[in-house]
Parts: sequence; C-alpha cells; structure tokens
Amino acid sequence: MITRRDALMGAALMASSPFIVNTASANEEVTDTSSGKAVDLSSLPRVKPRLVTPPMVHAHDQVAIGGPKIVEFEMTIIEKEVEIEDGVYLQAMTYNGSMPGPMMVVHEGDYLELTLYNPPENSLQHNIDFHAATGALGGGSLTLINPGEKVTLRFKATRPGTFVYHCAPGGPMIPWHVVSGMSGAIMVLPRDGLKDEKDQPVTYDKVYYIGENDFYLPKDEDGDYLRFEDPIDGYSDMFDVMQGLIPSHVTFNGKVGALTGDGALTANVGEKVLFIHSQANRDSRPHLIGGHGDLVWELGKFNNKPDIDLETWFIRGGSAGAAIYEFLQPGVYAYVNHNLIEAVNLGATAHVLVEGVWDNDLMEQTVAPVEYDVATEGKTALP
Amino acid sequence: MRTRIKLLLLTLTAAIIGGASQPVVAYLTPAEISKLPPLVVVPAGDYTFRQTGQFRIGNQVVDPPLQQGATDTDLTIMKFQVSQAEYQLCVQDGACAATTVKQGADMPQVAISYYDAKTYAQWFSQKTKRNWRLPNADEWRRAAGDRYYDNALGDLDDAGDPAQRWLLEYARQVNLRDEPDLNLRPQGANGENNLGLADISANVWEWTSTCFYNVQLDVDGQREIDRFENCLVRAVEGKHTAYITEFVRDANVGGCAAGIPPDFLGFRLILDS
Repeated sequence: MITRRDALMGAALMASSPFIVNTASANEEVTDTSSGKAVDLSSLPRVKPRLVTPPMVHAHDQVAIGGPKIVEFEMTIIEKEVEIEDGVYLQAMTYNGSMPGPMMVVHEGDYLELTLYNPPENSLQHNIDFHAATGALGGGSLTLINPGEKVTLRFKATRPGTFVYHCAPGGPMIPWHVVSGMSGAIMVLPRDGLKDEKDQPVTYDKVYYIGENDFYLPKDEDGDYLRFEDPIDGYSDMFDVMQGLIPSHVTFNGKVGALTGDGALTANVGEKVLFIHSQANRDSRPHLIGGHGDLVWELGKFNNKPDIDLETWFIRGGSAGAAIYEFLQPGVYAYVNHNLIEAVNLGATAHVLVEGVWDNDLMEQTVAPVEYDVATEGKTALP
Repeated sequence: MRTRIKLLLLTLTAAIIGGASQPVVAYLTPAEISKLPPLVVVPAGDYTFRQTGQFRIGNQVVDPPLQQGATDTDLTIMKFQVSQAEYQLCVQDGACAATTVKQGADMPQVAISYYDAKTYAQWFSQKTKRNWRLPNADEWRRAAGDRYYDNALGDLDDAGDPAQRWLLEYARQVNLRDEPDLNLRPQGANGENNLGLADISANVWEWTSTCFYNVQLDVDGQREIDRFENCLVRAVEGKHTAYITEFVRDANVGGCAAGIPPDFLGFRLILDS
C-alpha cells in the first residue's frame, strides 16, 4: 500500500529530506553571526537549571542574586504521537516531549543560552523563535536544524516579562509546527523581583505555567478523528482544518483534562499563586471561576504596572501573560478560557484544589435551595 | 493506512447488521418476537439502598439516608445494555431519533438522552407486545448487585467546613474513576456482576426514570421534612449517580467545573410482567 507520504515523497524525488520542508524553507534565509564583533562573556558565571515539565516551573530566585549570568538550558525536540483527548491522537511535535514546552526563567540582563537537539529519528527540520530575543527572527534563522543536528543560541534577556517561544521553520510549516505543539514560554524576571501596582515588591508562593494549545484534527466522513502514521502523513488533512480557523480542541497542557482530576493544580488558602498563561497562535481569555487576578500583567511585560482586581484577562495569540492571585477560600476552582465553548466543549479547563478553612464572611448560602410559595413569595423581584 | 482501517470497520459493521440472514425488520416479525434479548432475574427479597437526590439537614448537605427495603417481586432486566444494532432497528422503523453510531453493532448504544431511551422503550414494548420501561434508581441499584458503589462520604470530622466536603467529593471521584475511559467496548466485555448482569458500572452510565430530588431532613436526619422534585433532570447510574438533564446525550465534554462527568450515556430496560 502506498501512503500519502510515499506518494508525495516519490513525486518530490527527494530521498534525503522530506519534501515539504525544502519547499517551505526556501524563502527563509538561514544566517550566521560569525562576522559580528566578538563579545567576551568569559567572566560571567554560568548556571544550568534543569527544565521541568509544565505546569511546573524549575526552581528559581525571584530576586536575582549577584550580577548577570549565563543561564544554560538544553531542550530536545521530540516528534511523537500524543493522545490529546482520550482516543484522539495527534502526531505532535514538541520541545522536550511536552505541550507546552518547558518554561525557562532568567533575570533581566542575564544571557539565556539554549542548546537545541533534533534527534536523528525525527523527520522534520525545526528551530526556535524567542519573542524575548532581539534580531534574526527571534533566533529562528540561527537555529534551523535537521534531524541529527544540534545548535546553541545565546541571547541577552533585555526586557522583563513572560514571552512565548515557538518553532518557525518557514512558510506554511510555521503554523503547522505551532499547532502541532511546538511552543512554550520563558519568564524574564526584573533583577529586583516583581512589583505591585504601587511599585512595592511582591513575591509568589508558587507558580504554575499553563500553556494553551489549539489543535485542528481532521475527521473522517463518520465523524471519527483520523489517526496518522507520522506528521507528514497528516499534514494536508490538518491543513484543511487549519484553514477554517476553528480548532477541534483547545487544551491546557496538551490534553483535554490534563490539569483536572489527578492532574488538578493545588494551593492553600493564603498562598499567592503566579499563573503564567501562554498561547502561541490564538487569543484566549483566562478566568479563575470563584477567584480573581489580584495583579495581572495582561501583556506579560513587567515594566508595565500590573492591573488589579481583574475578573478575566486577555492573552493575545503569540503572547504570554502573568497573574498573581491569593486564594481566600478553600474548595474547587476552575481555571478556564472564558470562551466557555472552548472551556467546556473543546477542553480549555483546569481545576485548582484549594485547602483551608471556609470564610462565611466572604460567602454564605443563607437559604439552601427550597421550594417557595408562589402565591406569596417572589413578587418583589421583578420591576 | 487510515483508509484501510476504516474500510475494515465498515465491512465489519455491515456484516453484523446486515448479516442477520433476514432483512433487519425481520427481527420485528411475530416469529422473531420470541427472541427477546437475554434477560436476568433479580430475585425478590430484602435489600439496602441509599436514596436518590440531594439531602440536607438545615443548610448542610449530607449523605442520602440508607434505607432497608423489601420486595416480594422479582425484577426482570436486560442482561446487556441496548446495543447499537438494536437501537438502529428503532431508528430505521422511524420511531427513534438517530444518534451517533460508532465502532460496531455489538457496542452499547451511547449518545442516548433520557428521551431517546424512553422512546425506545415505548417502541420496543409496541413491537414485542410486552411492557418495557427504564428502571428507577432503586431498581437499578438492586440489579447492580456487587457492582453498586455506595458513594457516601460518611461523617466528616470538619463537616462544618463546606469546602472539605467539596474537596473530598472531588478526590473520591478521582480515586473511583481514575481517568475518563472513552474506549467503548462490545456488550459483555466489561464482565458480569454477581447477578449475571453485564457491563454494570463500567464506562457507560445508564438512564433511570428517577427524577432529581432536593430533600430536607429533620435535625436527626431521620425524617423527611420537605421534598422538591425536578423531573427535567434524571438520575443516571454507574460508578456514581449523576443528575443529567433529560435531553443531554453526551455529558462528557471537555472539562466540568463541578466534577467528573459520566463517560457515556446508555440504557437497559426492565420487563414488567
């Protein structure tokens, strides 16, 4: 049997690399920095935090200790089939095996130095575009690597904030790689930490990184989701769905229900939690049902004063925002994309389980549901 | 690759539906009526059941009270949940509303609303000249036998804190259910309970005729003071009791702010003598 991939590969007569990549990257200029004036960073200390899988974030200082550093990270690109809803499969492309890719935290003035590996068993070219970085398409044109190659990019973190990174290997490959899972975020903290709306220092007790993905999975004529052999096999069907702009799934952490049930987030009453929310492709509107955003950097950029007391905040496609909330009541909270169709029907829901003691001053059910006398009650409600 | 899998599936489905030697309506001829679906008799006797609904003492939510029951009548109930092939006969006959058909004729028919199930019962009664109906929640629990889950939370040490009950309920559901199980399996593939009923409390929740009740108990929790009924919402039974609006066919969509919804909605019927 000849698969679509075989047919396309045969037609393209390109045995060494998948046909799509070559055609797509033809209009991208791959460049280098070898003729630039040398900089000497040899005196800077180096640290190498180990990345962790979202929604967790690697350990970091909220206020920088000492001067600027070179912060080294390593990420491996993994192409693999992932179940994005029970029984529904995506040929995913991932940074470090997770959707979203791991969060990297540095301080303003630090240098972020990433070594990116594209293992030989992968089928496609990949790269990384850091929205926090300046020049060369965010590093995208310096990091395009084939299966079996690695690359190291260093950039100076000059702007404090939360920023998206994503794969951008050229042409129609760009949206396809992004909606196949290749995005993540970094956080550049001010050296002296975060400040509230009155410019007073503020700290958080824990941080969760919620990466939102929109997926565009094609269905067959019976309405069942198609399953593919590899990313290329699924490309043209997925492309058609992408062109309609209506996602089949909108998820937090790469799978419907990834952050509910056993995966639910936890907190305690009195804890200040920093929620970082990224969306590399599409607008979103986080809302904590039963809670608020005490301090919200809707645009994610810490040199702007945070908004306070928000109900819902807006995450522009291609950006990451940050919000701090101190939980005041125990119980179950839902953290959703408040397009509720996307939250409930497409998957963009997380739960936060909060321990503590209930405060009846903040909320009390003064009359439990009970039948009322329609003859005498409820007459005064309507105008 | 995907094309071939699909074709195989279609062939299989066609074989099961169409392969029943006679045309499908033959199932409904008088000669065929004697071929009733496999049935299980749940014997008369004493049984304990937890009542259905939301119960409160004052404003505090409590577990539904346990009651001792006794019945002198047997319960005759379908061994299996109604299959896709069976439901399709009703659709083809113009009585039942079409719904999602997936994966094969011997699969339980899911994506069923209370209204769909009730319509099927009426149609099936007409065609077989017998009285079929949905079980009520108590009957379902009797039939569930050793696969009945008592989801009482018990006395909570800090019952005064409403959030504790909420969190415990959430944890209990997570422990009980693990994760959603959206792999539909053929009739009988989930094993039998001690009474011989197949597929009870697996991943297909079953509609009952029991309405949602809001019940107020006295301070000792012994006596009902007040009972309010909403019959647009029915009890759906499985590993836990869910209360689902009667026109909903699929309660499992994406997330749920209040808990973990049933994976699938299906049904089986009781045969009244």
